[in-house]
Amino acid sequence: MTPADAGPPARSPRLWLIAAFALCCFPIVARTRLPLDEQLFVPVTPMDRTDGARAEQWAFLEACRAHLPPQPVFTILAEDPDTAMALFMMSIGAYPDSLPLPTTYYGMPMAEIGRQADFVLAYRRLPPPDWNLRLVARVRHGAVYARVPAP
Amino acid sequence: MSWPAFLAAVLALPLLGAGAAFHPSVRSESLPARIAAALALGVVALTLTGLALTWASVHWSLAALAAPPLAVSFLLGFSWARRPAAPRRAGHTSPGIALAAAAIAALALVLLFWTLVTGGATSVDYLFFWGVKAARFAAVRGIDTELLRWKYFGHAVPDYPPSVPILQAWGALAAGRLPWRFVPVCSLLWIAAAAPLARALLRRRIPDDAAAAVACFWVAATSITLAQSYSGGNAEAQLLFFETLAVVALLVEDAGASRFLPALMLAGAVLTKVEGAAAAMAIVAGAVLRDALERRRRTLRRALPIVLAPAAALLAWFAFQRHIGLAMGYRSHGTLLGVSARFLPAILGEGMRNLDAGTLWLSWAVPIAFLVAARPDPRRLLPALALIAGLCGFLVFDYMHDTVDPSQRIGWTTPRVSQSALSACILAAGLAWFGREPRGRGISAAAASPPAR
Repeated sequence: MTPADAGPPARSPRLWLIAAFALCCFPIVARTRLPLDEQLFVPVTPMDRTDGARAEQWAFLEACRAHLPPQPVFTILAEDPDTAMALFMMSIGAYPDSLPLPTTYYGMPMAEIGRQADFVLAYRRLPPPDWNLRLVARVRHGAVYARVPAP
Repeated sequence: MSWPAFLAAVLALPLLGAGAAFHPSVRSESLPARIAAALALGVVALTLTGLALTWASVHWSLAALAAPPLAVSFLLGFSWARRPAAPRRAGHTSPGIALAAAAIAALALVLLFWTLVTGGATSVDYLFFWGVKAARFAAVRGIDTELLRWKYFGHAVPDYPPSVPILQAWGALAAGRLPWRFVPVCSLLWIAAAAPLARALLRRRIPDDAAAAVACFWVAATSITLAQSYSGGNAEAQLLFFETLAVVALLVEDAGASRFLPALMLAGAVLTKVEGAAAAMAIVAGAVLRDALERRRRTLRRALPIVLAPAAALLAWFAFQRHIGLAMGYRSHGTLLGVSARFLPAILGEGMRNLDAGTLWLSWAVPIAFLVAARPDPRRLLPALALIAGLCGFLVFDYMHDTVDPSQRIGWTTPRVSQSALSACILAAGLAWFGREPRGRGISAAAASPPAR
């Protein structure tokens, strides 16, 4: 092949441009189907428009942040193991100076590890009564608890 | 407000690799194309510096991370600038085509920007591990080796290559923290950066108007598929940048031309994602096979840069893994040959269904139609065809390891992982449709010019 100075007659690039514009119509059509107020909605979390459950969980972690000290050692309780796992995974990045301890990991109970935490973030559930916790703050969809030191 | 500083750090990446813009094989190109080459070198250099500093127990800072790439880049650039540049083919893009191509590409990028900025294309993996690693690396000012070894961090695939977390941590260091909502928006920059260099490379083989149109179609198709596959904030856009430019550089090269650019891009791909290593192998195999079938001279010797650069990048990561006590290499998905054809119909069916690329398969159908209609000599296109076949084969082989119906996993992964194959298909089709047969092998104007190595 050589730079375009030999060979058959030139082919028009217009078809490619038309096809490129046709591709752009797909997201435009998808956008116009949404109500305007939804399109102008400013997201609060990175997942607001992709995964509502994750968005809510991320917002929960954000809400808890104000009630945790620097470098907290915490665990997360949730209504089911999958949610607890997702919250655990996200919390490692959401609180980069923290030590999160799993209470479940991929569905495997790790309560003995989680119980070592100083703080408990309870998402859509109450912590077990025998965990000896005091309520620090209620946040949307849950609460932050602190371990009561043994006398 | 941390996003402006993060953005500034990302935009400064080409400065770290500015030397690449002076390489003889790039120096004649447009400024945006040269910036893309500089970005590639900057990213590779920053990644290797991040590894080296942590290895040497030196805490990261912006200055510590920037100094080695700047020094190396300056020395290389100074050396390269003294060598004659490959001549740039005189060309001219019709104003109407240039305007239409620019407008459509801009429209596609605006749509992608709008989707990313409104949180409509964020990858969940960004919240589960890409961004997590970045935030942690920035917090400890280095690769958090304890975290990577921690048994409760296995979900975050500690064996994955480090480039994306290091880059995001670089931005987080500048910003003071990781701006979680803004980082996915930066995925757009990889498409915007790749397009001018892809166009510049294409015009070495096809008319300027055609190069502009193919690059425009590429921008539209990749922007839409990035959004549709929820690739904001993960490694897909960066991988697409490196693999696309590696493929196009090899597709348009003349016999004897410098392989600096494809070697650099393949090294970047390997440092970005596990699939980058598989793709690099396929691309290199395609290029070597093409050279052998076309009886180009010094096939094996010329393969050395494109083999050694990604191999060295991979070895650097594997050596680091070993140094910090991780199992060296990548975790396999089951035993290698533990495959079953039980789900093959579901794999093929779901695979096809998930290749719609956000455009009801039009992104694939258009280039395939042009490819078929052009009836090209397939040898010329082997670097791209090998990537397409290798990637699709790799995916099917991987899904055949599943012991339960992989339909859900196919839905999660195929739209993302297939993007490089789509990109290669577009480039191959553009070159096949607009490209012209050589008057004589190896005697083109560019090949007759002084080789730039």
